Amino acid sequence: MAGSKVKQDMPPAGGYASFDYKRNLPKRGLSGYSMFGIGIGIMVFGYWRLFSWNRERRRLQIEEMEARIALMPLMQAETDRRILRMLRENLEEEAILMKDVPGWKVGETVYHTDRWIIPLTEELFNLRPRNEHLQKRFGFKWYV
Amino acid sequence: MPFVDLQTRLGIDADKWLLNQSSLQPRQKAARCHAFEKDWIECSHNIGQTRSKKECQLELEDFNECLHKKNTSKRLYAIRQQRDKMIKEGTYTPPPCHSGQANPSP
Repeated sequence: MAGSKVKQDMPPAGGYASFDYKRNLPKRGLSGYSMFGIGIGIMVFGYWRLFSWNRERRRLQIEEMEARIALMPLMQAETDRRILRMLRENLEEEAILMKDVPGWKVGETVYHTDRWIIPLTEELFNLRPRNEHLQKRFGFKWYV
Repeated sequence: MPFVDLQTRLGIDADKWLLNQSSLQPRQKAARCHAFEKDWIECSHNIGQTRSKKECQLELEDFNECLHKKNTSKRLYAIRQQRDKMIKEGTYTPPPCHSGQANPSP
């Protein structure tokens, strides 16, 4: 055995300084109940805002619908005038076209009654370009 | 059951709403041929089928015409054919209101 004269790796004099080795799990933050409370509180606040905004939207929607109702006589009158104008144009063209066709009565109605029958789009757009007719019938569709 | 009006007795409306167009429709929206059907039904009510076929023939014809629009489309087709024939012969040019420059203002 070598004597104490061999250089060995030893701890420093006085030993190493002490250090933490125990587990450190501090209790911190809010408790579970209060976290639930905060979450539920935020939800309740959100619901309250949602419901009051929905009430406001309902009032705005009612106002929009009332504006539409107020304008309806004007819109209906315009539509009626347009329909009558188109029927008149069709009648005049029919008189020009079917002048030489034997046995044709211009403007005769196919019904036995003389009440006003709402004309079809086929009747209104009969002599117009086909794309106008298709636009009128299908232009509003958003799906196929 | 023929003489037992079960639905009125029970106060329900199981299929009366679909028996004819003139019954009460959802949102009170009248059918397109509501007037013709109502006329025909009122004419042929309570007189039986044999009499109804004789007496209510005009109303029935109007109702069928409203439903299927056979005579209307035949008439429109004849006008269109005549127009195409005259355009091919060169005797007719459509007026501006029928040539796509229509001004759709009322």
